[in-house]
Amino acid sequence: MKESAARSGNRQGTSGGDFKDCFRPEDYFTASKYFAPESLKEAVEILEGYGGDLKVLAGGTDLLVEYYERLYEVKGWLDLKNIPGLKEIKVFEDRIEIGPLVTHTELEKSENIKEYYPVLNRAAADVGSPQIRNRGTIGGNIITASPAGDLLAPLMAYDAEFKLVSTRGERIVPVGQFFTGPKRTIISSNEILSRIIIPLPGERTYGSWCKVGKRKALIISSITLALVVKFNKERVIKDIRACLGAVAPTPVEIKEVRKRARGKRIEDLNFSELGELVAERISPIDDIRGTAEYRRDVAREIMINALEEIAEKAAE
Amino acid sequence: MSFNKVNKSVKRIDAYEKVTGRAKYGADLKFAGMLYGKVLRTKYPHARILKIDIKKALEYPGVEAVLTARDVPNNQFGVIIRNQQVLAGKETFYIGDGVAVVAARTEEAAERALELIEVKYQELPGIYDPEEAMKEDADRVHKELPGNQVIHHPLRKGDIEEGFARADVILEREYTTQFVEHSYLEPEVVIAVPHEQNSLVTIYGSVQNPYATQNAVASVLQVELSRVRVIQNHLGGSFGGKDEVISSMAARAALLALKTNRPVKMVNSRDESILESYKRHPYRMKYKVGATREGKLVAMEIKAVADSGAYACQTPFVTWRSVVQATGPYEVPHVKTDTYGYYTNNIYTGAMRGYGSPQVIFAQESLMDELATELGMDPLELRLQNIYHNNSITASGQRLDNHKVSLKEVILKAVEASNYREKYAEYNKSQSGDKKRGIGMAISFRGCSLGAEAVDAAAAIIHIQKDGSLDLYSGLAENGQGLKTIFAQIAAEELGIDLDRINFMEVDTSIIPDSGSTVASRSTLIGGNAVRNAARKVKAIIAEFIEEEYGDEFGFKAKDLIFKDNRIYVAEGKDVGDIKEIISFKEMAGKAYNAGVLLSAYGWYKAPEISWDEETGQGNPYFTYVYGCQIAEVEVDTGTGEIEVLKMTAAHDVGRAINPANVKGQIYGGVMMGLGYAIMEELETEEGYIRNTNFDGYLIPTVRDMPEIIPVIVENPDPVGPYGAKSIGEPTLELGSAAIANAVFQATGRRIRSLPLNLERVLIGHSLSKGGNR
Repeated sequence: MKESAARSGNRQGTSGGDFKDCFRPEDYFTASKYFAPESLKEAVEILEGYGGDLKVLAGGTDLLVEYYERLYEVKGWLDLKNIPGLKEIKVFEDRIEIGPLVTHTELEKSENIKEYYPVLNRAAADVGSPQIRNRGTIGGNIITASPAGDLLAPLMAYDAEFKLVSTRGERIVPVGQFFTGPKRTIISSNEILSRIIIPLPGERTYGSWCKVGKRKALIISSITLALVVKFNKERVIKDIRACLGAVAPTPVEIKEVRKRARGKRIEDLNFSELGELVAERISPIDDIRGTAEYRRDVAREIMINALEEIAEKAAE
Repeated sequence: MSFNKVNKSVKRIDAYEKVTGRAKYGADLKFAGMLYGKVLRTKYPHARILKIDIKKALEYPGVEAVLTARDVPNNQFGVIIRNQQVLAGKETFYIGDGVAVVAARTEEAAERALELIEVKYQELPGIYDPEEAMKEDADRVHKELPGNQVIHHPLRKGDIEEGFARADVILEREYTTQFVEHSYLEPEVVIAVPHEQNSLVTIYGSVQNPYATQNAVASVLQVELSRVRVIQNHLGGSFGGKDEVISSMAARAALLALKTNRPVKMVNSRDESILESYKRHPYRMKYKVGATREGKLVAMEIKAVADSGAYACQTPFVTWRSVVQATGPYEVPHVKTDTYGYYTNNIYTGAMRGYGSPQVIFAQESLMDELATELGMDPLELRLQNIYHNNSITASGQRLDNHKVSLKEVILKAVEASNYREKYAEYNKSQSGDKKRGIGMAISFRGCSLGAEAVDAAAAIIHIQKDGSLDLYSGLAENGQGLKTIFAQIAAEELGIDLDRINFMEVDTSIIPDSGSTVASRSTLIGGNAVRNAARKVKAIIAEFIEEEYGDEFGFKAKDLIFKDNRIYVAEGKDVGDIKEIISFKEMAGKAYNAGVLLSAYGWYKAPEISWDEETGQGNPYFTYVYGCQIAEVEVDTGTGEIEVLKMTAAHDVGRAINPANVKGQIYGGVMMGLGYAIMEELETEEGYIRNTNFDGYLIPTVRDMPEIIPVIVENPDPVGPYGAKSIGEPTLELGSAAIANAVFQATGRRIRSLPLNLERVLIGHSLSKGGNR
């Protein structure tokens, strides 16, 4: 996975080819097919009809960059913007359901997200820039499936599930099974992500978030860590999930952490040992955002910091 | 000395048009029948071109011309050494080399045509490291040259061996720096219009140096200079970057325009810009310094090697500035310096804000801190013991006696403003937790303007209309630095008029004499003097005219007149400031016009004499210097390697601040650019290919990375500068990297000798980046 300029050569860039003098998104797409259905049912039917030829468009912050100056290569667009309900955050007794078109800014501002999923909330606030957070969506972040996608480790740490719909019905996939490789998931070309479902964390759940990047904004993560710990009344760890981004082909949970820590009190854990465990179990690569050696070193450090932070919060 | 218009923070005269979008940049321009030009660039950094077939491209609908090296009358250009190809003919030397150019009716057709050009290459092994290029048996990048050396500047002062023999402590250290992209907001644009108003070709666009571009185009076309007219547009940043790359683009556009007899517009995308445009030189520097136990410097030996990339470009002069500044602003009796530039097949390198100084200052100011540690001294005290004062002798043997050497004042003001002493002591104590703080400094002296590089003179024209409004032309160009405002302030000061009566004209090479390039932080100093000269000439004409008209009636001589508040007065009574109005400036202009008086003047200014002996590196390379000190305060996360620059204090002696707000603007911008250079910017290359050709991979600081910046303006008027003004543009950028590296050392105990101080280097001490730079 080493990014090699020598292998790929230096692409001959161009300028302004896609943009001409118009600024309405619909106009960019005149050369290809553009659909903006008003119901999910209609959307999956269109998708079924065109198979893999359509790009499903949410905020566009990944797609339009990926196809910059090459929009003509896209045969058609399925824009989800007119489908009702996809922009909502709904609270149920045991879960919260987040529509795929909910933006990072909305995750950042939502009182419910702040209260129940502070790690997701803080991760959303660390995405890109205000412009990207205003346009970019949780659904887009999931479907793009970048190993460095900032929301993915938090979703994993909160045990999220994804509802996928097609003309043939729907299925619910746990986050742990969804990602299969860099920019690859199990979603089929005829399916649309319609809901992100996260169980409500019980009381005494604490989280910690860390993003390391080469600058403070507008940066693809070099490494991320989402740590969520649930305690019982006796302050014993009921569950602990240490999830990392940008250290493997997909976001990963280090399950051994759970095995070692469950049933213990946090003050009885050996933080350095757990940090070392995390460093050992990840499989980072060398790329422009960081080297494998660096990522292992940092994974250990930020794991220790996160445990310290949670120990402190839990003691309050 | 009190002023009415200069030394005041007046609003920029081009601010309104820029913030409202009224200002037209190169890419905004359209001409009737205009075609779009595109460049096909090489596939390999180093290759032989076996065959180019343009037939299919020419047949593509909408395509009007396809040109290759064969169509270029003179295919080699350059400001210093002419060896840059307009289009690669037989061989490509770097990944940005153009192989063919296309003009078509639409951008799309031009794009398609590029894909239809068939080029057969034979890929050749290349040299991608100057250390390789130096070897005796190395292949030659340019076969017609005797070797790969672009330049070697020696400097010898005293007896280096005797110097080291007297040293109690000797340190040897090696430092390296990276390729850096200018990152101007506006990528390159050129429009070539054929046969406009009797010129053979007129060039519009984002041109930093209109005369350099004019010279290159005329030379490529093999025509006289007056046949090529260059008119500058508003420029979206340059920082030294829109020189040779624009000359090359202008030459290509001109060839297409003349071939098709239609205007041709060429606009680079960001990828094209980063792929093609020259960068700041990476340096590898070996420093050896000797000092007495008490901390007195006795000897310094320096070997610095710059990667020139495929072409000579500005390497001979960039490395020359390094020679003069390499020892820093310190009295060292024995000095031996060798500075080299070597050709490689990397992207070529040229002028970028700092021009050979940021590299050596990073090395030498890091070294001073290393020496302080070795001697167990406070780095500030070590510096104060060795800095230049009036009558100090520099490494090149120049006695600093014609201006105020204010280094001590500058340092102490920065120390005070940053609370350095207290913080240095505080951060020296042990700090708990992962986050450690440190404070560090760097100082410099910098030669103003071109020095011994080239002719150093500039022109201005002041043209007063019959209603008293005024057109001002300058041979130096607004590059975003605020030149128009500064020059207008100077003209307004001399003529006693308001700035809103001045219309600042764009540079037009057919109107105003060649004033050299807008580089070397020389505009205020050289161009400002030219404007002042023009204004004084017009003022003398006006005064004489007023004396003729009213002198007898009111009893005064021309020399008694006072130009102020859009009026002309004479002193009256005994008290100073007791004045009587003779006539308004506007009324005067009408009367003068009706009387047949010429109210226009050319101003000219030529810099004082300098001297240089290339064999020994001795002489008076610059006629004056500026002094600066920057202090960085950082917090380093020792768990992740993240650096947060908390505060930068930047004290600079500018001679006189013509516009203090503008000086601060230069400081803020320069400090940020220095911060990017220090901790994140790096163009990563791999066997001549460029890994990061856009801003997703090439990182520059964002507003969130911006620290608190404390600008400290120090004013010691220079005898030569207009109102005493000197320079500020480049000094602001050259100090940050060393100051930050020194602060990081205090915080972490880790000395990093390679730029940038990225996450890896800070955390694990070395970069494993596969970029191949090191």
